[in-house]
Formats: sequence, structure tokens, C-alpha cells
Amino acid sequence: MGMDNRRRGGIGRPELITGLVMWILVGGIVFTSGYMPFWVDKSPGPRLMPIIIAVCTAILAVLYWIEAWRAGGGEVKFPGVTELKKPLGFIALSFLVFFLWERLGAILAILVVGFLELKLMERHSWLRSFLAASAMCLFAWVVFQVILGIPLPMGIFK
Amino acid sequence: MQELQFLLEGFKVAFLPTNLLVCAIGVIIGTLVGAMPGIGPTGAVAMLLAATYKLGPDAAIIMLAGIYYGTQYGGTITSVLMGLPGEAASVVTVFDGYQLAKQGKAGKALGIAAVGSFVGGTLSVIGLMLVGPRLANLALMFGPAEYFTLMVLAFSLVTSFAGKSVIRGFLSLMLGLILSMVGQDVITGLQRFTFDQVALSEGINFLPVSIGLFGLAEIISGYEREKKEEWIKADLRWSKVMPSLRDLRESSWPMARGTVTGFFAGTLPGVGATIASFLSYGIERRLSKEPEKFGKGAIAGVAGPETANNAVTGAAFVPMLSLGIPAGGTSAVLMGALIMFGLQPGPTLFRDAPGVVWGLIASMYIGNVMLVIINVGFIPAIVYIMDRIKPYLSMTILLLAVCGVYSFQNSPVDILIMVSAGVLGYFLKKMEFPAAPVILGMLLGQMAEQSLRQSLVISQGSPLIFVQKPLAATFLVLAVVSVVLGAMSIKGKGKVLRSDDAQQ
Repeated sequence: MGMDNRRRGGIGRPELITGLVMWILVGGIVFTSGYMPFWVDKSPGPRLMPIIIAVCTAILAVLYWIEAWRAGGGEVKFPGVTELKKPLGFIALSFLVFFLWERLGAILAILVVGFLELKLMERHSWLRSFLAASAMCLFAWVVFQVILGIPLPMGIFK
Repeated sequence: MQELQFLLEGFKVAFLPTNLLVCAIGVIIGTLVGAMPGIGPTGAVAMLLAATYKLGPDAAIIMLAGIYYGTQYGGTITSVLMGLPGEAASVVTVFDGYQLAKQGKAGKALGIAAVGSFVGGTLSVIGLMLVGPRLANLALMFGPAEYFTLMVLAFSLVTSFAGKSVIRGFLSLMLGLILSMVGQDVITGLQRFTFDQVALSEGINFLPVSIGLFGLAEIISGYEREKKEEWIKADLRWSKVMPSLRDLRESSWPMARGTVTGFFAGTLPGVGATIASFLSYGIERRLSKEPEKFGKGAIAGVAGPETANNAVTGAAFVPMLSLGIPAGGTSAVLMGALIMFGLQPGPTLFRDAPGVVWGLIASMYIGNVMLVIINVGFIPAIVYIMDRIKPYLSMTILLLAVCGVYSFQNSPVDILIMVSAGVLGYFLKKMEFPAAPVILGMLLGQMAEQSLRQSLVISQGSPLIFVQKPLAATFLVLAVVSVVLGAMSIKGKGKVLRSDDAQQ
């Protein structure tokens, strides 16, 4: 079961946090654009558009809270820890690909991550996971390196 | 007629062996992608975009366009055989298509859908051919003020009709505009929001963001869902799928109406194939002599919407090619592809790159013929392939996405941006924020800013220029109207299904 954020007449926690993030973004834009000129030689400078966006975002964030409050809170149900296991697992594997990509090389990175995904998340057997991951490596090498001529990082094989 | 002459030149480009091959590959991939719940046309086009870079602009855009309109054909297969839409625009087909399959008439439903898709797709390409160049000529008269307000109109249309809330749509748009500000200022060259990072000095490329937002986010959220889809066993030999004359006669008017509905819906940024198919369904039910049959296996309930959702595909290229305004998420990514090749979509594209434009239009005729043959004659093969691929789909998509994104600039930072965008896209989905406006903001943000600043220079700082010019004022009024209409339609039809794939 997901977290039940339903509260009577209030804003749900996810909506509250989202609005706060928007306000932090607004503050960040205003603060980090401080060094940019708003107007340069009678023409609009590089700070004009960021400030317009910041103002619009601030107004929209307030309207978003009002909309969420009128909806009575709890419109959005965030999944619980159990339901988040697989999505978080896939996210972790995606970051692992980035980490291993140039360290091990593209082919080994695909082999490792592919194997982990098929074994741990799709629950295939050891042999099937290894064979499928190997097939993916071969596919990637043939399509990208050979056919398309895109140099994939060699990593430890450099 | 001049268009016929250009079209003949376009066929010379489209019939080149490489282009024919990539068109075939594109439509096959599109059919498979459309048939597979889990990845939509926008994600597929975004992921394969980087890999097509080596093909050159005409081959690349032909293949990517083939994927796009191919998905509209493929989405019908799971809608009919599983009761599960392969992509958002095929939701309506479930209502009657799945019922027909349960009655042992799956072949009939699939056949009529394929023919309707062909009719809608082909006629919309004719519409593109006739309307596109004329609109481009009109747009050549636009100045910076007109361009800025046109982009404001495009922003309003896409955000007002994408997702469940206009406010959330605009917040997504703001996010996209913020991302477009990162990098070098177009006019002064000043570095903005780069935090002294070299990797950000060229800006954030839209490609890894779009792959992450549409491709990876869909995979991540797919892991939450229980996946227990089962096919209805049906005889899908071509003799069973080929529609009879009686079926064609019964479907002819729904197909005609679906074409018109889909074409007009497709030319409007933000409306999209999903809304077009719902509109068509509503029209057919209202006009039917037996409305009680709808939802229980009415052929018109399949023919009209399937024609409409394919008619959108050709129409979506009208604003994209002629005005440089994408009609939704997929056409935004396709527009990004043209920009990647150094081509600027808009009124000058027909003049500066006629080979690419007319080659694309000609290839769409060829692609629709290929698709009707595939979808009438090879459905058992498609079902077989999908069954085999499904257990490995997530990993294959991640692999393609990573290799594709890396191949673009040989930069691992793009992989990091893609994965981060995937996480962002997942949370946007959970919070019910549409993703299409983010990409729209990224693509058009710098152009909008440039037009705004140029307009203010011309008017010496006065914002009244946007209301003093008649066309600019008209666009602004339409933008306000679209926001009001969007808010009213969301309020009045709380149960109407909209999804990010209404972005196309």
C-alpha cells in the first residue's frame, strides 16, 4: 500500500514539498542571476528572461498549492517502500552504467548491468541472465561500433 | 500544381535504396514499439535519434518519422488482443476492439483498424503537402513580435491540453524554459547558470533529457505495475484479417470523418492523437443509428478513432515544418532531430532543404503502404516477436538509450543527464505533471527569448508592440482563449483520459 496523504481540507505532503521545491528554484534563479545585467545599452539583457520565468514560477507555485488545497489533499499517492524497490533498483542500475561506462568500457558495463538487471530484477536463471546479457553486448558492439561506426569507450581494454 | 513537382522530386529521394531501407526499419520498429505497452513513440524516437545521426538528415528523419506513425498502427494490436493500449492514442480502440476480439472477431477489428490507419495516414500526408508550403509562405511575413507571440500560443496550447491540470502544465513548461537558459546567452554570449562547469557551457542538450523523461521514466514507472497481460488466442492469418467489402462499406463514413477530425486536431499544438481519437469516438457514437452497440463491438468504434489517430501524424508535421512549432512531444523530438543536423524548422525549411522536406513527405506515402501490408499480413509474426522480447525489454531499452545518448557527443555527462532526467520524469509522472511541456520549453526557450528581446529592441523597450501588431495581438488572444478552454475542459470532463502521449 502507498502512503496515504489524505488530510481533510489541507495540502498533501507531496504537493507541499513540490511547491517548496519550486520556490527554492525561484530563489536560486534570482540569486544566481544577480551578476547578469537586466538591461544593456537600451536593450534587454540576459537577466530579463530568467526573472520573467522566476516570477511566473512563483505565481504558478502558489496557484498549485491553492489547487491542491481545493482538491482536499491526498490527490497524489506516493508508492510505499515495497512498491519502490524495483523502480529504485532500476535507477541504481542506470547510475551504475554511468559509473562503469568509461572505467570498465561500454561492453563490460553492459554485460555487468545487463546481468544484474536480468538476474536480480527479472528473476531469470544465472545461465539465462548471462547469455542474454552477452547477447546484448554483442548486439551493441555490432550495431553501434561496427555498423554505425560510433566508437564506444574501451575502458580496461584500452 | 507546383506541389506535385516537388513531390516527384521527393519520391526520387525517398526511393533511394538507403532511404527505402531506413523507412522500412522505422515503420517496423514503430509497429513493435506501438504494440508494446511500456514505451511510447516519443521515447522510441528520442532513443534512436542519436543512433541515426550517422545516416544524414534525410534518412534519419525518414526513419524517425516512420517510427512515429508506425506506433499508431502498432498500438492497435495490444488494444484488440489484450485489452491494453500499446500507446495512449489506442485507448479508445480497447472499448470496442477488445470486445470484438472476445467475440472471435479479432481479425476483423485488426483489419479494419489497419485499413483505417492507412486511409487516415495517407490523406493526412496529402493535407500536409497542400497546407504546409502555404503556411510556410505566410509565416515568412512574421517579425520577432509575431514569432514570440506564436510561441506563447504554442506554449499555451500544449500546456493547456496536456495532463490533468493547466497549472501543472505551465510549471512543467517553466522547468523546460529554465533548462533552456543554461549555457551561453544567445545575444551577449554571457555564461548563465553554468556554475563554472565546462560540461554546462554549451547548455543542456535536449536529447538526453527527452530520452530520460520519456524513455527511462516510463520503464521506471513500469516496474511499479503488475504485469499480467495475456493475449486472446485468435486466428490472425491475413485471410482472416483482410476486411470484407461489407466491413469496408460500413466503415467508409467513420473513416472519412476520422480523417477530418484527426487532421484538424493534429495541426493544433497540444491536442494530439489521444484527444482526436476520443473526439472521433464521440462523433461516431452520436451519429450512429445503433449507439447502444458502442462499447460492445461496434466496427465504427474502431474504424473512426483508428483513422483519426493516424490522421494526426501527418497533420503534426504541418506546424512543425512550416512554423517551427512542434505539435507535441514526439514532434518536438523530431524537430530536435532537424536542429541537430543544422536545419532550422520553420518557414525557410521548405526553401533551404526541399530535399529533406519533400523526401520526408514522399516517404510517408511509402511508409503507410508498408504499414498496411505489415499490419494485415504479418500480425502473427509481430505477436510472436513481442512475446519473445518482453522479458528483456527494460534492459534493451536502457542499453539503446545509453549507447544512443553517448554516441551523440561521446560524453558520459550526457548519460548522467539522461538518468537524472529519467528520475525527474518518474517523479513528474507520480506528481501528475506532464513531461511534454518540459521538452517544448527546452526546444523553444532560446528562440522565444531571442524574439522577445529583438521585439523590445525594435519597440525601444515598450511591451505594447505585442498588442499593436494585429497578428501578434491575435496570437495572444488565442493563447488566453486556449488556457481558458483547457481549464474548462479539465474541470468539466474529469474522467476524460489524458496522458503525456496526447503530446504525440
